[in-house]
Amino acid sequence: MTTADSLKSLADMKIEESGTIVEIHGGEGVSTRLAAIGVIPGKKIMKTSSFSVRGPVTIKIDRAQLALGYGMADKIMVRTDGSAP
Amino acid sequence: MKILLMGNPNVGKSVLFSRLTGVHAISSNYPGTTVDFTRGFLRVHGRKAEIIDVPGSYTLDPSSEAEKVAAEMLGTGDVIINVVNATSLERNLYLTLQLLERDIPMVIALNMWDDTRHRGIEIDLNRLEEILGVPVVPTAAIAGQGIRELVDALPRARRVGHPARTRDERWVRVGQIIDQVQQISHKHHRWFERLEDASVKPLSGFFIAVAVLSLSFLIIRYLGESIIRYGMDPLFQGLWLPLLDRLSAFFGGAGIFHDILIGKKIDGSIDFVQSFGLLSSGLYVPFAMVLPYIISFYFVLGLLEDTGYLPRLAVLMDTAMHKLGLHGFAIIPTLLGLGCNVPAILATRILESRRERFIAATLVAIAIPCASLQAMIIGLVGGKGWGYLAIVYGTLFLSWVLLGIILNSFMKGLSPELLIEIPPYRLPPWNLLLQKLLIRVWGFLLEAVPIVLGAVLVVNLLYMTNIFTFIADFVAPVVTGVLGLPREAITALVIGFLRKDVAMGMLALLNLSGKELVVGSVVLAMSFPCVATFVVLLRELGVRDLVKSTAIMLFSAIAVGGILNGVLSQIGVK
Repeated sequence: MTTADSLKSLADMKIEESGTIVEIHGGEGVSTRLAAIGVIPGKKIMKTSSFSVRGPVTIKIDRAQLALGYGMADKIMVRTDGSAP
Repeated sequence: MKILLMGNPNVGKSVLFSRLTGVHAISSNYPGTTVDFTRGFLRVHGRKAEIIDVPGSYTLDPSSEAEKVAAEMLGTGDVIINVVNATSLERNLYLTLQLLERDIPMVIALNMWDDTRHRGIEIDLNRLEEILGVPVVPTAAIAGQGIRELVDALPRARRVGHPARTRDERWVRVGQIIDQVQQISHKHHRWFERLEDASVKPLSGFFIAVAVLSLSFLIIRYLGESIIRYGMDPLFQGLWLPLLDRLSAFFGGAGIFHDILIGKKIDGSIDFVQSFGLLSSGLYVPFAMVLPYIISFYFVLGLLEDTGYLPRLAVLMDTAMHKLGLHGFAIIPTLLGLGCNVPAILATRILESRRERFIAATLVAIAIPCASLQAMIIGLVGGKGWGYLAIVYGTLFLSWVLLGIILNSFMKGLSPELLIEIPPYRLPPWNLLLQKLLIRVWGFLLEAVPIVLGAVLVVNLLYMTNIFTFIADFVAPVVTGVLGLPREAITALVIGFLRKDVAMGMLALLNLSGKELVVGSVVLAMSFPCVATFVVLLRELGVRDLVKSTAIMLFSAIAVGGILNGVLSQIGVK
């Protein structure tokens, strides 16, 4: 039911697109910081905005809104809802 | 008994602290307002207990200086009040579970309880209490509800001593708990939420930011000017001046005591700016020139803080701030610096790396003029024409940007990335806003007025004794040659170490041209920070980085002042 192309980084997601976090790339440092604020695999998220030139990304998660840098958004892999059957 | 108030950032710990103790701690609607602990006392069943407002933290594994303070405080407490945001339970319980693993009695304050209903959130309190094994008390700190119940629950605080879990195990457990205690019914978007979204989107966000900042500036200016025009000036001219005139006549219009208390008469009469006596300029400068802008600035800053706009500004500024080696959140300490550099440098604790803190603190100390200095610059340079004022602000802004770019490219390491929670917009709680304004204004009066008076006294004594000629001879070539300022300006620049506003007042005595006044104010703003800023820099950066930071300051002040002097002379600005 899932294909490789439904898996993308948060940075590559479109605005208003939503999905489930599958994994977080990068070292322990990044995943620890993200986990502390509640960004962990298994959580549903929706991208609410992004800024050009590798600018920050904002998301909704558990009814809260977070802003994170592009580098972090690039490491968060999300299975998007749109392409699931 | 020592009670610790602990919880995630921006869940209302400081408001709860104020409610519990009657000591007003500064609170705002953004994560990281409290970077140091505040101490207070309350009575629990007739016994006095100490309570500490601990900086907010998502986890006990710290990633910033403020979080480190929280983790270190934990070992010193007898009881923890874990403040939890009821509207965001699934994000707050992680820290709760981590705290329950420690062997310290705990009570949970389920704060913002009054917000849950209209957000469609239902929480089964009894079930939550049963699962966690500690008392859970619903509170609404801003409205003052549930405070007594919370105090009554303190003796029932229990230590649970859960077995230590790993990070992933804790999150799994949070999920299980949420499934059992929380139900959410979907609610329609409020117009507030549309505005929330619009202010963090590139285009709409930009226009909102321009509107908010312009409006803030206008309010600060008109409110400040109005307080001067309709409050302070009539007071000083109508009531105080006649009294001083009589005192002056009593002294016979001259003499040492006359000059120290009242100052030199200008064209036969007392001038509140130029006479420079303790009772004339010594009172007029802090009360009639600076205080009005302190009030108007902190009123507007309080509005921005309490509505929840600032974290959104941080998101918008993020890309630009990365060029200066900072991320967007550094805009908050920077804005605080426009009021006073001391809390601004403390607020850099919300930044993650030492490198970032050094850059942010150095930039604030050099290029961000505090409200006291700005009030004097606006009053004195503005008097020469708005163009001159624009040159001062333009130069400082440009220096902030350039210096940031230079520091970023020369210092080793990368700047960490932005990661913040954006709080919902909230109508400012007016009573809290007013209290915060009072704390800040009172703080200014308490700290500034004695130093202003001291500085004015020192200036008078120096003029009488000529001690300064020695220092003046030493630095004269730089000041006259490079900066194009008269020799007498040296005294003012040195007094700047005590108070920048007094120093600016001294520049006004020298009958400087517009150009000289512009160069003088820029150098004064950039060079040495005032003594209070200096002390806090030492505490936050340590000796070595303070020396580095100071060297950068002196160098950039002379370089920028010299260039400005050269450029303005070239294009014929007088």
